[in-house]
Amino acid sequence: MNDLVRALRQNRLGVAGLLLVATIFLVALSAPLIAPGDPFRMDWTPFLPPGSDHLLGTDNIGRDVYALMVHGTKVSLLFAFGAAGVSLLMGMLLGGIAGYYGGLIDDLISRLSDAFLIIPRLFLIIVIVALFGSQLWMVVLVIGVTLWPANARIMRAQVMSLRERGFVQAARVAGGSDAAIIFGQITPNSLGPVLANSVLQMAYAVLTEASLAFLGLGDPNVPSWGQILYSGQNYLSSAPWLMIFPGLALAVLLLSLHLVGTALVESLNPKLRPVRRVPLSARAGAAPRMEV
Amino acid sequence: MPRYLFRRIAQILPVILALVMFNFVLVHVAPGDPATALAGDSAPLEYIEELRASYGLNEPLHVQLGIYLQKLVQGNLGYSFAYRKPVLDVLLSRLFPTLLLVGVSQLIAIPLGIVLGALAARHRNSWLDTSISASMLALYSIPVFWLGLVFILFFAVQLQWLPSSGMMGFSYGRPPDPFDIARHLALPLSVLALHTLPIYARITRESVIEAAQDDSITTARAIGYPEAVVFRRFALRNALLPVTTVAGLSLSSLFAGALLVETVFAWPGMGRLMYDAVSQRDFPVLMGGFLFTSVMVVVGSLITDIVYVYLDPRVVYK
Amino acid sequence: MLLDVENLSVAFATDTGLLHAVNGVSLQLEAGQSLGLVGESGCGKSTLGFALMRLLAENGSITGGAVRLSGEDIVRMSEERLRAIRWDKIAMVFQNAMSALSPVARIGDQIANAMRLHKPVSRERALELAGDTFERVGVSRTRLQQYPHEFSGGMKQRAMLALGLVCGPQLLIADEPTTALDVVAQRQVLDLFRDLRRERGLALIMISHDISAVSEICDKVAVMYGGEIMEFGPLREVFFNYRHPYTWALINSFPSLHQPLRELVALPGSPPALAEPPTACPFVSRCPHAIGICSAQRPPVVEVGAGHSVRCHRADDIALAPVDRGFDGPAG
Repeated sequence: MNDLVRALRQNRLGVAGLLLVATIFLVALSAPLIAPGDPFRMDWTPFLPPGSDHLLGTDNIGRDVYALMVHGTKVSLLFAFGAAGVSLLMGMLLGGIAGYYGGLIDDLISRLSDAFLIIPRLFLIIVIVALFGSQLWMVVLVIGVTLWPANARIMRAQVMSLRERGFVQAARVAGGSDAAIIFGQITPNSLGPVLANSVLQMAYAVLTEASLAFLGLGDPNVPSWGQILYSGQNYLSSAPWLMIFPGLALAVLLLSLHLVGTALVESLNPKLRPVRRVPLSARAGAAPRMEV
Repeated sequence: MPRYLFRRIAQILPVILALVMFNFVLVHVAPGDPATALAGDSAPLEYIEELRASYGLNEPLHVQLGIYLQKLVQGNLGYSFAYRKPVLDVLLSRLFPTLLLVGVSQLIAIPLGIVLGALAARHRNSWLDTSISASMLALYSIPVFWLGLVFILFFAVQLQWLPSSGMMGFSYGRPPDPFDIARHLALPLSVLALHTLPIYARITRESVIEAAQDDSITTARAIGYPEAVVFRRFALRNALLPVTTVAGLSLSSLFAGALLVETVFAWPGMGRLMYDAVSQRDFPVLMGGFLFTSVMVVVGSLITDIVYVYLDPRVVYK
Repeated sequence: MLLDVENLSVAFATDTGLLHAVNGVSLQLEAGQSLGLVGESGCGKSTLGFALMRLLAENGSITGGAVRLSGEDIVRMSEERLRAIRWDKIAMVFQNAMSALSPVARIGDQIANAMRLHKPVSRERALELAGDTFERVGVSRTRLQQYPHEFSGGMKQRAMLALGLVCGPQLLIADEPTTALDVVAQRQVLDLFRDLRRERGLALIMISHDISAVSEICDKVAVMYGGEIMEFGPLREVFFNYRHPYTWALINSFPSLHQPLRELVALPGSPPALAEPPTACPFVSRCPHAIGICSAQRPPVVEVGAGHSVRCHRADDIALAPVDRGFDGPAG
């Protein structure tokens, strides 16, 4: 965990990503302050272009796009943390069990996660949402449930390598229960790679929510960026702002999550870290070798 | 090789069976009447009754499952009232446009991605690497449907170079019109290619960088091979193995991307079909499409496995 | 003089600054001679081996000195010339034969391609010669068809050796060439080295921590510690008339198969961190004979006999106890 923080500090783009995520988080928290009132109220003339009255214009039914966007931030972050959180918990639990016990349980969980990894996730989610409806929390849960196998895989590999290490053996000899060993000894020591992957899964969850909303499968009771895009796509030429701003917001959030996630993943893989070189002034002889 | 193939197929069959079971369970746990879920919202009442009988919906569950499986094996995915055709026929009529879009876009994205990734890795930490990596990460962060909208706004609305939708090339009763198809394919094709490009570029870069630190690369250098040969014949060659794996694993996100692109551009493929099925609540098409796409992805990943075996002599013995 | 290494230094860039892995190493080798490079792991002996071929990892670089092969300085050579002499004149057998061969090509092709890179021979002829080399190292030529993963560890080690020998280099650097092998195979490889030296005047640098293997086939020995050569000279001189406290300790820490068990000399302390270029004797913290000057000044290289040099302040004024030989005497 501390390693992650230190690694992230060394990666400037990662820090930039983290700052952006923090900013977006702040926007979501202060939504009632910076965009007071019901974002759904249709009090204005439709299709007002961005200007001093409406920073980002109004939409096809006279709602303020700025207010919709500010409140939409909450939905995106809810999906980011909610779905990735569900996936994190499930992945660590199932991966931990598979790696710790091995044998038949491992086979079963591994086969299940293989199957989940291969099926077209978005199609599955669409079918479920079409059949069961688009209530916010259910969709968060469904996305989380489709994401766990990647975390389980990482966790399983970590546990299998940690299981035979000295401190785990020591805990076992000392009479620790399986649960105490898995959650007390192994989990804290294998959190790094799973967390790095979780940041990338947050991006995936945000994107999936936006895709669903864009396909008309969003929860109509909450404002979201994908929803603005969904209604805005019909007015591309007459009201392009309906499409430009939510798309940009999505891209910025995804980019910042990708920056953080990539920085973490790279920091955990020593082979991908930038190579340090002996300064030219200290080298003797011929020109430095070609780099690969 | 045949034995390996046999084993892989044996591993994949349970996955497909699980998918079928899953579909069956979905129909039954969905809110409302399973018959409605099987028939879709546009089906008339008489048909729903007929369906209740033919799927044995009043029988115990295991009998229902038997009937369901039997129908599937016969290729019966149900009947779509929205299209007044069997679901399988509807799906097959949309297969070619999707395969065309997906196939051609990957023919562009995979080689281009490998070249960009290899270039970045070859000049690691240089300005070239930084700009390739940064632009790939940025591209990867743009939602594909938004990229589609931007392309429409720019190329179709503003510049009016290319049409954004309305292709007639596949219309019934006419011979296919390659020119019309190509014109309409250009935008969705570019969007899908740009969407998948970063996946290949990034994995190529990473695996080349890792492969370049392999001991066998030191050996190749020690032998005296020129750097270009060391890079191409050793580092890149070894790095293509993980690229193949990732290509196989990203098949499902490729089809997801295709669904969104087809929706944006009204491209008459399976993705657009699924989208229309959602808004018409045409459940047979929706679930049939899910099953069909899943089987395609599973088979596609089997094909990448075979390519992998061809590339890596070690696999056969594992 | 086939190989003349003069004052060679190597450094690696790390997160915490430069790491000076090899410092001011000098040694000489004639054609047909063999040199044993011995020392604890981490003393820089493998790094020195790689540096002789200018084959350091990306974060490493030669920071000073010269490596002259038949008078040509490898350190200052053009890339092109370097590629031409690599493998043709100077080849290396890597310690990690398991991963040193390319996993995706047949071993015969790997050997034949290496040969064809340097010699104007046809593919068929190259494969034939590869087969000859295979038989020389004790592997059936039918196995040229196979991939590395079909070889056992010991077989891979021999295949690597065949790869190193196929171009007929003047100098072969062998990094722990016998470690992965069983006793019978070790014997074969050592005999092969001896024959090759006699037949074609192959010069050999054997990097090893196996003092008995070194004592069996080497004419010269260099004892490394903390990135420096502590003692260098003819095998007999270094092993029987050692003048450096570290050589004494190293020889006494080596168990013998032929003698009753005895207490091994365990050195307290650990090898130095090499963050700074040396300003003292690297052995000072573990040396039982250390005096004030040892930590204040880097010891000079002192000539103590014909071709026998020691890097020690006290080379002339300490008497190192003769102890039980922990190894077999030099052959012949």
